[in-house]
Amino acid sequence: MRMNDSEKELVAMVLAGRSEAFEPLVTPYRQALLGLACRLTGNVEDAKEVAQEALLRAFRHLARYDTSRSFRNWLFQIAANQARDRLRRRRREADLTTAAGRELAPAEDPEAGRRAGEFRSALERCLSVLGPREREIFVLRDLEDLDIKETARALGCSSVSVRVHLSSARRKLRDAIRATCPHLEEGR
Amino acid sequence: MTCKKIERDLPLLAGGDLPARKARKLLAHVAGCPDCRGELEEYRTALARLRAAAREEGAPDWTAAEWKALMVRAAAQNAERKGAAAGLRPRWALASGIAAVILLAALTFLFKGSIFRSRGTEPGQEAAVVNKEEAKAAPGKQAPAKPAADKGKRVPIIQPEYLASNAGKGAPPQKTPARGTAGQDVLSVTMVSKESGLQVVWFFNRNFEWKGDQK
Repeated sequence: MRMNDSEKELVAMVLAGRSEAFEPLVTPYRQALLGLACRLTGNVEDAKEVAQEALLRAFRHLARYDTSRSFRNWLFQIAANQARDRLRRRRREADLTTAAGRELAPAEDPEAGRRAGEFRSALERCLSVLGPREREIFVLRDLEDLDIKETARALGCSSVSVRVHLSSARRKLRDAIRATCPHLEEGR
Repeated sequence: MTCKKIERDLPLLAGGDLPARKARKLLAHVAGCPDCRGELEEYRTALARLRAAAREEGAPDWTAAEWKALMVRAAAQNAERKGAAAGLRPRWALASGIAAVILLAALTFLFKGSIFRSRGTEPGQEAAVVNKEEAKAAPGKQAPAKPAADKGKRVPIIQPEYLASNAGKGAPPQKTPARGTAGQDVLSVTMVSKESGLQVVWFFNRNFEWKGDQK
């Protein structure tokens, strides 16, 4: 999927200093970007921060964007990097908390907790069996429909690595569906 | 091709992620192997269910206020970037100033004296001309009286315009000795940083060249 002409024009306008052209450029992807961030981080609050930072970064580094690529995939690549950084930070924080012997504090905002709980759907429960790399690859390839090559490019790894992780992810998901999400198997 | 061998490739085959040639080989095996066929079907179904679940679930969206705030933030970021690009940062200004001074000093050293040299004269020529003129003072004419303190001294005289315009003429010059005192013929270069207000003043003195002759 390549960039269309109107996107090219909008990119040129933003690069020329017309920042108002950024909104029409990214609006078609606003929900997809947030959806991707949700699938990668597993909760809406983190996802919003990841997607927001991805958009701001995209704006800042628009001059580096290769117009022969799909703009959507480029945005996804930035979001995937942001999500990875965020999850890594979260894990570090969790490790520190565990090391200090403290219990994790409950969510301060009950509404936020409720929203996060809602998003932890059957799909999310299935995805939770995957490792971080497998999850990224499965989400980009199978849920966002990037091809193997684009997935590899977005994640900065080889196509072989993508195939290995994808195979492993699909196997784990099939097992998870059998074990924990039987309703997803309905209709077989 | 054995079942064991194709086991790890079945998930990729289910999603259409194998090269065509390899996919054909696997499909040929699967066609004749009920176990592998069943497993492939299971992968396909699981994949289709997960995709359908993702579609049904949809994705959360930004509220209008959140989206608006984000776009405003992006535009503000652009304005900040423009502001930063409009002027050099102070450290760059300082570095540029220092680099310019070093360059100027290097050029001064390399072309020592040439920027002070009188038009049409060579280094030391002025003093030589003065001595010659003193020696050839016309018998009928008295050389201008010298200050008592200067008797017996070689005093550098700068009269470039005179020397150039009277070259080859017989008339002795009306000399007005210009002494190479420290306060004369000083060139100063002042560099001021707009950002920090730092001033660098560089003095160049003609005596630098004639230091050996100074007393």
